[in-house]
Amino acid sequence: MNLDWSSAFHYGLLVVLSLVGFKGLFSQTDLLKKVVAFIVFQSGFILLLLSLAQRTAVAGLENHPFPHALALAALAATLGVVLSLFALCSAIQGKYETLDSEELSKRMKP
Amino acid sequence: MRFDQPFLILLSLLLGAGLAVLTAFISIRLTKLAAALSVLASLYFSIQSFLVLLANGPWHYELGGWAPPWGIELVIGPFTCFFGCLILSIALLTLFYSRHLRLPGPMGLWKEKVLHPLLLVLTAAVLGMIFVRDVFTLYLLLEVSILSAAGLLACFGDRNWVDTFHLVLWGSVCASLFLAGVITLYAVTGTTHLDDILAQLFIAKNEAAVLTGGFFLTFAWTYHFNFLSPFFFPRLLNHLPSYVLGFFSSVMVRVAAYLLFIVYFFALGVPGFTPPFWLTVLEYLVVFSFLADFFFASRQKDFQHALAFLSLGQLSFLFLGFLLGNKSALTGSLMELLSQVLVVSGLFLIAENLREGAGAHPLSRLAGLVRHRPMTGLALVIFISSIAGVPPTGGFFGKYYLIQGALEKHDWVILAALGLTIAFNFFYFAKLTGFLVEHRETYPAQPASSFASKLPILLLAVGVILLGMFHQGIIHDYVEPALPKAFQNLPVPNVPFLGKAVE
Repeated sequence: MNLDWSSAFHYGLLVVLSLVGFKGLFSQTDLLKKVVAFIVFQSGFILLLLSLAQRTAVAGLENHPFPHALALAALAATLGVVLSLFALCSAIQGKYETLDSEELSKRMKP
Repeated sequence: MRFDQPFLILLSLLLGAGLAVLTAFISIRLTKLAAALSVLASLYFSIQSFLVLLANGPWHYELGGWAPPWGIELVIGPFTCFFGCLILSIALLTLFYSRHLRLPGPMGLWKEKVLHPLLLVLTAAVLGMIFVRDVFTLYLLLEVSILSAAGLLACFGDRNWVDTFHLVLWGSVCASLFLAGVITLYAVTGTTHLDDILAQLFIAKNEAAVLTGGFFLTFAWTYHFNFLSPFFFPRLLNHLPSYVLGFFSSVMVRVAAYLLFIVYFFALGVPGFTPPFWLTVLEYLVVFSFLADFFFASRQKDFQHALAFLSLGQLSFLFLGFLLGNKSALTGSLMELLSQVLVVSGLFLIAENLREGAGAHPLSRLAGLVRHRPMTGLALVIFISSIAGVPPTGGFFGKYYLIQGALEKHDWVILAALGLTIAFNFFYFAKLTGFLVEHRETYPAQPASSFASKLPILLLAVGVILLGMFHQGIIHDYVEPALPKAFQNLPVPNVPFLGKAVE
């Protein structure tokens, strides 16, 4: 892989974005914040996929829309997951009146 | 008609799901009927596919005539077709056991109605995962399977909502790791097709890409392999009906293991690639951690929790075969896979038959089971004997080939681990069998279950025995064609070179 410094910086930024989201998934105790962390985590990968379109163009496949199609499909899947997570957060909040995972584990019987 | 069977296998399930939703507005009986008929139709098309498979070999079917990478290619071989038939049979059993399901609450009836279409979508997604050869489609199907499984969990009451949330969140995080692996491999090879990836990696000799892609594609299955572990999901094990747990453990988890095999040996199995020492050590540690689940199973007081640990522990046999990576070991792994699908499903169905409502199911209630319920007790002995490796069960031949693989590779560490595990399981099997046949009143005196609910368990037990008895035919016709090409007994092509036939 022949990457110049600007590409490396660009890709590195997206990887860092995913890592920030990944850290949030573990460090946050609030379920809603976990969902936001997941969105950040996933958006890093989708943007990485879009960035690859430029790279395949460099490789000789001019205007190849395949990575864009992949990114769009990944976006649709993420949307479905995030909507489900928000719906579950709303249902959990309605039942337990909290979204804090530590508080939830105390209130739920094993 | 005859040439669209691969598509029809999936389409009948998806159409059935749509039909089940529509009929839900009329009657729940119609919903159940539509769901059962669609699984039967899918099973019919799978069995019909065998005729073409046995005549022409693996079937490459391009959806809508669109070639990859734009189109989706389904590849059905004898093994995937056989595996698919087992999955459909277990889906059918799950539908059968859910026939008397009554969910409480004002929305209970609607949840019952939604449950069937969700099960069909989950089955279609899981079948699609074993048929597709495109890693990106695999990612999408993984997300569909997670969402439909979560929908199923949510149907069984609001006390499962937090676990459902965790399934969607962490399942999707793992799916994202899979996507990261797909992106890595696409960036290096410019393709998402499994066979092309292998060819491109071989040409590029890019070991860093193999390692990075392999890391992501392996960790993507972490959640699946630990799904329903009593360490992480004790509440689900107590609240969910056992037949649903059986479907998750036998189908979702084993399909994940099969896909790991596909990724390792059909996308990343670059000839000449030697993994670094630290990775080999890590792999051994991971596999041995799964072996420890057999010990945890033996320490459980609850039957369902013991089954969950046994289900996890059996995965180690599959992983040991992948780790050894030679023909005998992979044959053993795939043989184990087929056997485990039947065994795990059968064990959870027994738990369902013996269970009285939700909550704990103490192992002490199984005392003298063979005397009080001979058929159920006998089936339980057969399933446990397959896990222990007693002949002539399918599990015995799986372990036999694994040991042969370890001997051929001179891997004494794996051989010792296998030997110790089999000895431990054999001791546990003997102890449990003694417990099942001892003279004691079953506590409390349980009402006998109907013959209809016992029949599927007996069929699964017979299946485990048949798998062992006809192991040679199964290995020759189904398992060997599913192995990497290097391990298949393919005739060497006679390539004409300068007018002379050479080999």
